[in-house]
Amino acid sequence: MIFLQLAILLICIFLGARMSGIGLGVMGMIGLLIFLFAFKMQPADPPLEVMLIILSVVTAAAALQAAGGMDYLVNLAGKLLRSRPGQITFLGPLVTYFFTLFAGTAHISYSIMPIIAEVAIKKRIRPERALSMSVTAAHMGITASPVSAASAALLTVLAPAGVKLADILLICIPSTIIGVIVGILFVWKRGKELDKDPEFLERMKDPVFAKNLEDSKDTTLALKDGATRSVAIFAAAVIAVVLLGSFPSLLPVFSGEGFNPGFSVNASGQVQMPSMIMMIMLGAAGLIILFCKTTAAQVTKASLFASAGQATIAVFGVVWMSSTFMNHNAEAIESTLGNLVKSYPWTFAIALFTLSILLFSQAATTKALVPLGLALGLPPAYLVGIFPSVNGHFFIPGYPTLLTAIQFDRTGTTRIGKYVLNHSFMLPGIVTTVAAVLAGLVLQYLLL
Amino acid sequence: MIFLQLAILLACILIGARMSGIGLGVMGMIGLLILLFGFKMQPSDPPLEVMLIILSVVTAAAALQAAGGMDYLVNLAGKLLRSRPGQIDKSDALLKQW
Repeated sequence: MIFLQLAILLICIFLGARMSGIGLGVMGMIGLLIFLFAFKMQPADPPLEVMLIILSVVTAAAALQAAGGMDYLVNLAGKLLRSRPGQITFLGPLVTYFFTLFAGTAHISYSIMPIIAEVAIKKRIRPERALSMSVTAAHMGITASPVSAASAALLTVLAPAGVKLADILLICIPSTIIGVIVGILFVWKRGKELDKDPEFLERMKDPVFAKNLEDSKDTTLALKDGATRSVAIFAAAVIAVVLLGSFPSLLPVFSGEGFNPGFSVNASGQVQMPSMIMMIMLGAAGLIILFCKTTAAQVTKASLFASAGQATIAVFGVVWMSSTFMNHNAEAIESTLGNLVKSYPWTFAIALFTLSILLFSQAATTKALVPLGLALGLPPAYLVGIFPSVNGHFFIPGYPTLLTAIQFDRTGTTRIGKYVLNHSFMLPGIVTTVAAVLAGLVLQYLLL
Repeated sequence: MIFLQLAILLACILIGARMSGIGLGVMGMIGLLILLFGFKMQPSDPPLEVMLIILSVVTAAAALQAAGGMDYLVNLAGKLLRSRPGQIDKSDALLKQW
């Protein structure tokens, strides 16, 4: 019976992942309906907190985008990258990492990548090096950001076990930075130099292509009035989240008459961090609409707002379905996998990595699988340490960040190989993820 | 005190309604933050079920729209209306009631 159910679960995930966008969400619901009516399985609780955090955080990012704050950040990144063109392999990934960390979404990397490609080509540095690592760094930044859905998902799973947002940041920021730097060193001299690359030399024979390469366009984006103000408001919100997450004593506490715990207040009367993140980030979106030159309509038209809806629906369906499956089969799963995970806890990192290849989402992977890790007896700190392993979505080259990097590299060095899986991002991605997980394990051992 | 709180509530609703779209949502959060930190009020449960039903129903309607189902329904309505042009007042009223 459990195998039939597992087959249904996997088929729904496969079909949903192939649909992309809201696909995982709607196919998850179909799977859930089958579980409910055909197998009489009790539905688990839907991943409410994660969904609402995604909705709030990405709406705030969409407000930043609509107010021109993203353009301001991209200009800033461009200035930084152009000032030291020779260091592009090093600076490109790091700049992408920190901007993703700040914004909580890899979206911003789409606008930084053309700049990286341009700078690298002008300096005749193989663009594949900087671009492949920038994509990887953007994904890593998600798993270290205080305002990303993925970190919030980890927080909601581990908070009952006593893990604070500050603990996650304390481990995951340094571990992913170490991972990114190891990855950069790995790609430093990877592949042929550009002026020895046969494909590039072939393309250079076309005079139009060669001339286009040298044309320097002024890509600085025109800034809206209030663009910098929107960045300041967003930054204040991020800082507020970090402060409240680091010092729980700042969170309002309720007790006495008329007090009853609920969605946003825990049994000891303290306001829960996930609710706090929702209020602060959506409130920041409100302030941006109020004080920067943008409107509520423009925010909903921003491309990020559509991705907020997509991500929310995707997590809704796929996590609801998979946690229903896991709750129903908890005993069977624990008896088969419990011993394996107890003797070789690192195998759980491979499980996270594998699921993220299928789900294309760090937040959904975390919310779906990390509760199982807790149930199998892994210490919460260990789970924080292996958190970067949910970054497996570079494995199959279909994720939009990978495709953007390939598209913007006009030299053709960044590419998908003959066998699909031998693409530019495979080795840098694996090296970076392994390094980040190892660093995370050492750091959680020392610090938590 | 309650009048000040009520004033904040109404101000947020008014400003939010004028923004339209997500305005009520984001201004509501600002109001909630003021009530929480300024007045130490315990936040109640958010309207989860209503939100999730809206999300699901409107997504289903969006799927209908994307697949052209809405167009089919409009054509159907058009055919119905054109088949009895003399009854247009009545059928129009009927459709609106739907």
